[in-house]
Amino acid sequence: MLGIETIATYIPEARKSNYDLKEKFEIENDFIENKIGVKYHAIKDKGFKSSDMCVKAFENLHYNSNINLEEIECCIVVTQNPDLNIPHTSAIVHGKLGLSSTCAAFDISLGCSGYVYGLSNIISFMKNNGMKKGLLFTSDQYSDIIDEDDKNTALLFGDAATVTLISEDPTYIPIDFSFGTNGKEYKELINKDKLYMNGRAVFNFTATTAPKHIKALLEKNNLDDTNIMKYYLHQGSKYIVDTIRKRLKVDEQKVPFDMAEYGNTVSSSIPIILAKDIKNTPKGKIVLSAFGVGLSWASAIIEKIK
Amino acid sequence: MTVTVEEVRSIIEEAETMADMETLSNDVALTQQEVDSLDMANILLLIEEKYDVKIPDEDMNQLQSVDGIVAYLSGL
Repeated sequence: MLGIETIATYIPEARKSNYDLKEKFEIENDFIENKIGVKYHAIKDKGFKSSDMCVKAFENLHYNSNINLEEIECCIVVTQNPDLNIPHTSAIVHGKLGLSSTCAAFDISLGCSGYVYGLSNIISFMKNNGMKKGLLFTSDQYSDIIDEDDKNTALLFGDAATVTLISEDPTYIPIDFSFGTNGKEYKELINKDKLYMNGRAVFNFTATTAPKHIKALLEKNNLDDTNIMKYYLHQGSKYIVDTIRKRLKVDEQKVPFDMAEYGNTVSSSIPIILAKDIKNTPKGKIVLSAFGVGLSWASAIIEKIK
Repeated sequence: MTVTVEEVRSIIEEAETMADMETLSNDVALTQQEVDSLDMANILLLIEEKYDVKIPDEDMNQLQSVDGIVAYLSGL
């Protein structure tokens, strides 16, 4: 069965501090630490593109897992900050890594919900085409599009990339997926010249949609909270993670919060937590749930089997 | 719609803000009483859900205090 064998990440070393923005945005430490939940943002090198961050993530994967490039049959990049409009970033990554000419490569344009969508896409695509090994990348560099004077976004986002190795030797296997979209609200989180987010609209959408979506997916699979080991939620902000957890009425220990040192990394937020926990958690079922730009949302149940 | 001060204060308490409910003034802006912008969004969402109403962004300046919220909802 195809599933997640392992995950590697690239979080740039450089940081920008939210404590330096206290005066500018008239905020206190409590707001930074307990509401936004982001103390520092990871910032990529100037000139670094989405594909460069993917390559860095792959180097970390290769360092730990010694990947045979000839065996990679599929390369998908989830990004909304592509290197160029044409061609797709996955082709650039394919070229930089030196993947085989028989390797399929395509992009998925999604934001925060992108990893869950990407996971379902790559597993389905590989299964239907008899493929055995594939790479799912997530990569976004919001530092290029942030309005530094906008409190709603300037305090939140960090740059990062991840790569997930999909193979027939999985650590996590998929159980079920569920997706949703509210395209009528697409303007609430949008990038024209700079990123704009209607914080209240996005909060309302997430607080009302995500808990119901997770509960419905569990019910569909005849599961409840007692069957779930962890809930890996998109790390939008501490306030939103806490709000979803409270509305789900689940134990705080089951819902990791991990963005304080690097920020909201969009589609990379869930695989970053998965990668950290991959060696430290027992077998069991895990809920993934992500929500954001689109407005789009996606949830999944996966199971750690070793 | 009939809405009481007590109901609105109960919603603010439910939102788990940093405001001290014992000393919270009904006629002073919540944002001047340890309620931040994220808490305000949460309070308004809880109000929308409890009373099954939609509060447009452009009306938010009418809902800055407990008294303001009561007056706004009572006028719907």
